[in-house]
Amino acid sequence: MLNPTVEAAAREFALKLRASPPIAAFWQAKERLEADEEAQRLLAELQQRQQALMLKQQDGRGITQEEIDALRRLQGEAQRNPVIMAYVQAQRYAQAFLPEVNMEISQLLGFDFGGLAGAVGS
Amino acid sequence: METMWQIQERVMEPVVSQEEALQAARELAAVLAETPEYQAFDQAQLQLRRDPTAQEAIRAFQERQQSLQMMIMLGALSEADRQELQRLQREMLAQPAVRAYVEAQERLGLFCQETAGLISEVIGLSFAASCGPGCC
Repeated sequence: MLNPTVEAAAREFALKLRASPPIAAFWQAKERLEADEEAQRLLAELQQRQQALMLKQQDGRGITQEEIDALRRLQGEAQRNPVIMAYVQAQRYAQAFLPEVNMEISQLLGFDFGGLAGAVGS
Repeated sequence: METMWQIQERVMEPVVSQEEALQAARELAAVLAETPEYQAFDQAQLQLRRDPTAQEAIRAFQERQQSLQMMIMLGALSEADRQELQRLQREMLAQPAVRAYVEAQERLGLFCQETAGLISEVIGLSFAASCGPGCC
C-alpha cells in the first residue's frame, strides 16, 4: 500500500495530468462516443460479430466469405464514423503525451518509471 | 452525490497547460525520490557500482550471454553452453551486492506499479502500457 504522502502526490499529479489538453481532449471524445447512439450501435455490432466469428473459428466451423465481407463492411463503417474516429485519434494523442510525462519523471529519478512499473511480473 | 474528489476533478478539468502537467510530473518525481523504496534502490545501485567482485561477475555473465545471443535466439544453444551460462548467472546472483540490487529493484518496481496504477485510474488510460519498456 502506498504511503499517504506518495498517494496524495500521485493523485494531485494525476488530476493535473487529466486536466491537461491531451488527456482532457481524450475524456471529451470518450464522453461524446459514449453519448452517441449510432457509434455505440456500430461498436456493439462490430464486437458481437467479431466474437461470433472467433467462436466459430474456435469450434472448427468454417467462416464464409459472406461473413468476412459483412465484418469488413462494418469495420469500414466504423472507420468512417466521425465520433469513433475522433475518439481513436484523441486516444492516440493522449497516449503519445504519456511517454513525454514519463520522461520528465524518469529523468529526475534516473530510471524508467513507467517501464519499471510495466515490467513487474512480466 | 459527488465526492470531494469528483468535484475537484470536474472543476480542474480544462485549466492545466501541458507545461504545468510536466511541472507536476517533476514534483511527483521529487516526492518519489524521498521514499524508502527509492532510497534503498539508490543505495543498492551505489553499492553494486562500488563492488569490483560483483562487477566482474556481471561482466562475465553478460559477455558470455552476448556471445551466445544468436544461438539463444535460434533456440540452438548446446547443453554445455547452457550449463555454463547458468553457472555464470548463479555466480552473479550469489554476489550479495547483486542480490541486494535485484531485490531493491523488485521492491521499487512494485512500488512504481502501484503508483502508476493510481495515475492510470484517474486519467482513464494505462500509464505503464503507454510508457512500456523502451519508450524513453
